[in-house]
Amino acid sequence: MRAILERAAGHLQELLDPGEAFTAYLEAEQSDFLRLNGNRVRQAGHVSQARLKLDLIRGSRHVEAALALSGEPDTDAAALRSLLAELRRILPLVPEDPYLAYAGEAARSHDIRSGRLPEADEVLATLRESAAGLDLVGHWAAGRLYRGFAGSAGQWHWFQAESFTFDWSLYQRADKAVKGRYAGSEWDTDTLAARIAATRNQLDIMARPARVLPPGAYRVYLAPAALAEILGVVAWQGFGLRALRTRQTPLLRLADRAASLNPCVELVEHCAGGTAPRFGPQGFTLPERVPLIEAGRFRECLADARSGCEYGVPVNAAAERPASLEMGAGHLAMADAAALVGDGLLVSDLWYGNLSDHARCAVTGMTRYACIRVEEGRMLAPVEPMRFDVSLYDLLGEGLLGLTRERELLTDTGTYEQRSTSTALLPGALVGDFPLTL
Amino acid sequence: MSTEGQERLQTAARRFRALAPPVDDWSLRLVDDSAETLSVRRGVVEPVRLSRDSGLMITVVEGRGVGYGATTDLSAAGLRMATERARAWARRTAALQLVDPAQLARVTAHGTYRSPLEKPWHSLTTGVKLERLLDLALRMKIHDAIVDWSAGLAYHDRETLLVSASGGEIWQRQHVLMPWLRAVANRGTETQIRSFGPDLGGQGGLERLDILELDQQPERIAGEALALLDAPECPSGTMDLLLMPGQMTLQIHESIGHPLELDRILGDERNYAGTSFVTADMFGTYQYGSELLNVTFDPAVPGELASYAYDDAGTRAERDWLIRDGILLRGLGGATSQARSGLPGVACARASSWNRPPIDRMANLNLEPGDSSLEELMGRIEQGVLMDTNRSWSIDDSRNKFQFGCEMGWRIEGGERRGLVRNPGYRGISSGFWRSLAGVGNTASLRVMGVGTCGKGEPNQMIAVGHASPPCLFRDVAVFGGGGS
Repeated sequence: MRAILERAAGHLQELLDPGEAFTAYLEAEQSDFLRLNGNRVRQAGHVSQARLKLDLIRGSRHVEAALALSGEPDTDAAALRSLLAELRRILPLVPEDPYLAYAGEAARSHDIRSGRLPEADEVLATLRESAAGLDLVGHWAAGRLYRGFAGSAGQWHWFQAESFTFDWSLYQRADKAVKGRYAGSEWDTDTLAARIAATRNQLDIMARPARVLPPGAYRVYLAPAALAEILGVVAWQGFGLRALRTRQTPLLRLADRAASLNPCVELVEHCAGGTAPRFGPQGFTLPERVPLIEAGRFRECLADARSGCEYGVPVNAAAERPASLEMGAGHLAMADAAALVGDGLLVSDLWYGNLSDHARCAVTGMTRYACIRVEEGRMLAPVEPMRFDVSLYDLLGEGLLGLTRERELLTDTGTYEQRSTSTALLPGALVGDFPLTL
Repeated sequence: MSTEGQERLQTAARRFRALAPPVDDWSLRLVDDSAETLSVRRGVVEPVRLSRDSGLMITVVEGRGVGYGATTDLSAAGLRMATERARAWARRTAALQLVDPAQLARVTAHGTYRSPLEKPWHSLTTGVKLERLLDLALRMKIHDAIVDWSAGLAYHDRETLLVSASGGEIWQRQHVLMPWLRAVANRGTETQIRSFGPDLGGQGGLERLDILELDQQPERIAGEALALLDAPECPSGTMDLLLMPGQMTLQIHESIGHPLELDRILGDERNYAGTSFVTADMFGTYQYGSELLNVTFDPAVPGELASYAYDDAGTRAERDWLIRDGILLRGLGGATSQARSGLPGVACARASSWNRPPIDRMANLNLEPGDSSLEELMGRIEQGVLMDTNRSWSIDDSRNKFQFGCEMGWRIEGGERRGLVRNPGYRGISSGFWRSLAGVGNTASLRVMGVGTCGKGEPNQMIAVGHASPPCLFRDVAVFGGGGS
């Protein structure tokens, strides 16, 4: 894949007319996908793809294009020539762009993250043995991911990672299930077997008759994955510079200092701690850390190249939403979650979150998987799916009773168009009055 | 007349036939997709974006094994590599397959499909189209409180060629145009947004801009965003709810479309998109809604977003009733899901592109018109709210408990509109909600719309689906405004 970008950049350099410049950003992968239902294979295959995002620039006029590259040199060279001709036809028709921004320095970087990926047969054998007799539904995705940047001023950035994600559900019956995850770059058969065994053990409690809860406020422990669902909804627009300046962020009251969160809330975009590349499509190198919320107060926005230029601030993100979100740890012990809840709920996962009220930064969504009724610190039974609707200012404000000292690294299993490189490192949260509405 | 894309796909298909592997069955799906996006924001032309995507997926059946290989490399070497990868997956999963290969859809048909097209995208230059967008956007800047305003056009030209070992060959070409306008009004920490268009994408060319009367929308959109800043919150309580087509699309999509997908009922989606409250025994007898509820799968509505002649498994697509007089008749499942479940379905096995395998999807899923005008529906409301344009959606993994929010609402009292309300929302349970359907708008009030970003599947797939609906009246719904309830 590296050769594909090198060849493309070389061709573009040769084909440039005087006064022209380019940026080229490659997104590529060679991935296996294995889909399971009932611990049997529903669909399985391999996808090899490479897409070049090209920006042809003349002065402050420019036109962008995405082009699928085959890897076959002559075919790609012809496609690039054809595309370049089309971009040159359009270029005079577009006005000058006051917000055009791309890296000007001839920086270079290489970030190659080798891993140990298993043979597909080994994965299948582990599943067949570890999940024997279980109704396992899941998705395995593994292989190499590539991101690269080349610019006409000589910039070169390369990111390559070998990684896998396995995301599964063990069903006890109908909609009663527990969730399991295993992701990383160093495969270990025993680790997967142990994690499947752990989720198998959780099925016992899911077998009990489910409780139907009346709507109301409950004391809950939100596991890191549950917290990730809420923070993911808020962060979609919450920290973007453009969303802030155009008053569209759901965190507007926080940014305006009209509201604050619990002082223990710390959120940071920690690029150096995640699995995403340290450069963006315009070639800017991203900072290691961007503090988003400190001591419960809004700190910095994420600014991509375009809005950084529009609003005159340094570029600090590839896109204006976190790719490597981290939340500071607290002092509670995750193992004590049920005791800390006392009477209430243990919530392993939340689902289908969406903003329900921008001004209040309210998020609605559903419980899913292991949502367990707890009384006197003991886990009693699963709960029928319930809808929540909660303001972040309550959830992480006065309602927040504490965060766990342990944090979980959650790898985004998203595969829309391509495998994601995003992660979130989050603690669990103990919350006082979590509103369930339906 | 063949196009450059068609030639490219046909050449790759011929190349593959010459290399076809000695397997029990194979199919080859090739996609050539060209796209262009133009937009302006706050008076500035955003970068013009072109996209050229070509690739293919080879699916092989070898013994009891099935596997696929997908690649952007259409050369002989690329085809061989993708085939080998597909065969490797078929061999290693042969003993573990969930679906008997005999139940898989086979591509035997020959046919073609083209979108209707009157004014091709390239009949106007990029410059002319940008000038028009600049004008539309400028007309939304009607007040200092309008803090962000944008207009855009997205165009797709997708050609798909499906060929098979059985001799089937299907070529389809879809032109899709999606315009949008968006105005953001703000005062203090109150922000209100009105939009037009993301749910009005459809097949065709630039003639769609006239059909949608795009030129007549900017001042209205911006004026409504401004007015919402001063509007009271939507009232809370149990009351009548009149949903305009701009919200009905989402209501149909989430609480009829997804629950009827046979692959959800078969459990394939339980790790991601979820399961369904609909079970196999309900088909033919279950009272899904009131007798006013009539829902069709109709792939032949001219200009609707997901019209086609064949699905991506090669099955001929035809209009079918899914729900008639409130009774559930048929699910949304392609030939493979029908064979697995023994349930009636439709030709809806679709893939988001060449790099994803077909799964059960909605296509054009339409709520058939009734006999009431909008005024008549409103006239039947003593106390209620009218809501339009979806802005928030959430539903459980069985597609039962939902909560939706809209951009704009109107309080209705004594059968008349009494005033604009902001942040309107409502919640309910699918299985009961549709039985509260008390009125359905007539053909004149029907609007053909769609959802461009329906997500599902593992690996994930985003796809466009069409929904047509008139306004609909529901009784005794839990309605609320901002500030929680």
